[in-house]
Formats: sequence, C-alpha cells, structure tokens
Amino acid sequence: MERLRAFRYQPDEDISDLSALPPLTPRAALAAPPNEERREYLSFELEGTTYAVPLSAVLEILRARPLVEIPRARAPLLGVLDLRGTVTPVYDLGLGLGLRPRIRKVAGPLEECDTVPKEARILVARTAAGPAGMWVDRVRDVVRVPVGSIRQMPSTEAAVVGQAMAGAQTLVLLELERVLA
Amino acid sequence: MSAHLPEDETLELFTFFVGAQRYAVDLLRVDEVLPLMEVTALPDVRAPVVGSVLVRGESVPVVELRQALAEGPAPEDARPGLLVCRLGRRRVGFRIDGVGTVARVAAGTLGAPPVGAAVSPAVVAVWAQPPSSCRRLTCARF
Repeated sequence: MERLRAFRYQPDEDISDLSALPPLTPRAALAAPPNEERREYLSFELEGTTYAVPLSAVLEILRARPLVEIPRARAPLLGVLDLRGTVTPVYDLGLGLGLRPRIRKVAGPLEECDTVPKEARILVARTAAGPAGMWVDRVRDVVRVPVGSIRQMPSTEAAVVGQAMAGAQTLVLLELERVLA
Repeated sequence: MSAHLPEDETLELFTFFVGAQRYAVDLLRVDEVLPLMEVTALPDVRAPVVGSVLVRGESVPVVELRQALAEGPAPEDARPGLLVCRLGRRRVGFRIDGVGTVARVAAGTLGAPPVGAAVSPAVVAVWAQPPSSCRRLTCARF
C-alpha cells in the first residue's frame, strides 16, 4: 500500500505536496555559503526581547538565586555571589539597558526579596575587571550567525552593537562591558 | 495491506500520545524530543501549522497534532513535548501530549484503518495486534 510505504522515512522523499508547511525562511533559503565565517552567540531574553552576546564572553550560566547584599550598592549592581570562592558581582542587565523602571530586589533578607522566576539565569561573563554576573529573564540558545548577516550599529558607545537574523528571529547584539560603563 | 513490505519485516516505531490515543512514527524520522517551548506565531501559516520555534539556530515549523488528528483534550497526567521529525530534508516539530516507547513490530501485524471510520488521512495503518489502540501515523501527510 502506497501510503504505508510513505510511512518509512526516506531522506529524498518528495514533500512538495505538504502545502501547509511554510516556505523556508528567507535566511534559510538564501543560506550562507558553507565556508562563510560564522560567529557563535548566546541568545537570551530580557523583557520579551531576544538579545545575544558573543559566546566566547560567557564563562558559565547559573540558575538565578538570591544574592548577598552590598550596602549602598549603586544600580545596576544587584549584589554578589560566591562563585567557588570568587566574589562575583551580579548586575541587573534589564535595568542597565533601561528596559526596567526599577532594580530587582534579589539580595538581602529573603522575606524582603522578589520571587526569583524559575527561568531566570545569571550569565557569568568575562570582563576586564574579572568575572561578572548578568541577571537575565531566560537563556534561549547558542546561535551561529554568519558574519555577513550582522548589521553594525553606527554608535560606538552604546551597549547595543548590532543586529542579526537567526531564523525568523531578530537578535539584538550586546557588548556587555558597555552596559556596565 | 502489507503487499509492498515483507510480512516478516520488522518496523521500529516511536510511539507517543495525542489526547488519549497512542500514535507512532517511523523511528528513523525522529530527530529529537524537546520540552514544550514557546511557539512564535508566523504570518501566512495555515492550520495545522501554528508557528515556529528556534532549534539551535534553525527555524522549525510547529504542527498542532491535536488539531490535525481531531483528538480531544490532553489527559490530566499529560507531559507535553515537541517531537521534531524529519520530513524529507526538512525538520518539522509536532506538539504531542506525551512520549511512549520504541516498539518493534512485524509489518504483517499491520491492518488498514477501518473503512468509513473517522480517522485522519495521516493515519495510514492500525496495529492489528494488542495493544490495538496504537495507530500508525506517517507525519508526512497532513
């Protein structure tokens, strides 16, 4: 029976009759030449938008947790955490980018802290001053972006350094050290 | 039913649940099973495709199998997931209500869906031996 034969997977099977499938995305259809240089980014969400930082800048990803409070800490510093014996500052990336009106309360007495959302993460990144944590809403994916698809931002000072397409999604590329500057 | 397949040929099937019904696809089609993730709505898609998800940098269309198979609501103990299958050289995600097992069955135990029964065109065969509730699904015709 022909329909049962179609049950078996064949890499070269004809799927042209699957009209409900959306066409390949423009980026996939115009796939970059295989030898084009690509850069790896880690994408994550902040306030509903997808941002990305160079993967090479990320040391590790931690489940977000209550932090140790620093008296008179200045925003966007949230507090510090003990990372295997290294005191590591953690910053509110959303506040640093002007996406949030107020800093989260995640350090100090637990009863005074905001609830830590299940999907929140701390990206520990390499900076000139040593490892620094960035509080983000959710980590998404590692994306390999063709260099040719990256659109640089004209400003040389802003934390947002460019944009890139990843499938159907637009990534906002960040320079983390500029957020803290 | 199995005129084109030797009766003693063994098929490896990946079984899963949609609603209370157990379905199966060719194990070779299965790329991975992911936790259910947020689906991005796409313009100009039509049912049963509901949008896409980003899987390791690739935009993968997502099919609502419950709608395609006219199944009822998920059972209370459902563990929803996204079954990523290969259709030709494309990858397509199917929303499922739970993962079953890998079953090895002889092609000779297959039966045609009952004539006139309200089954989706995607259902190509019914397992004639217990458990008889396991339907075969091509995942390629919706």
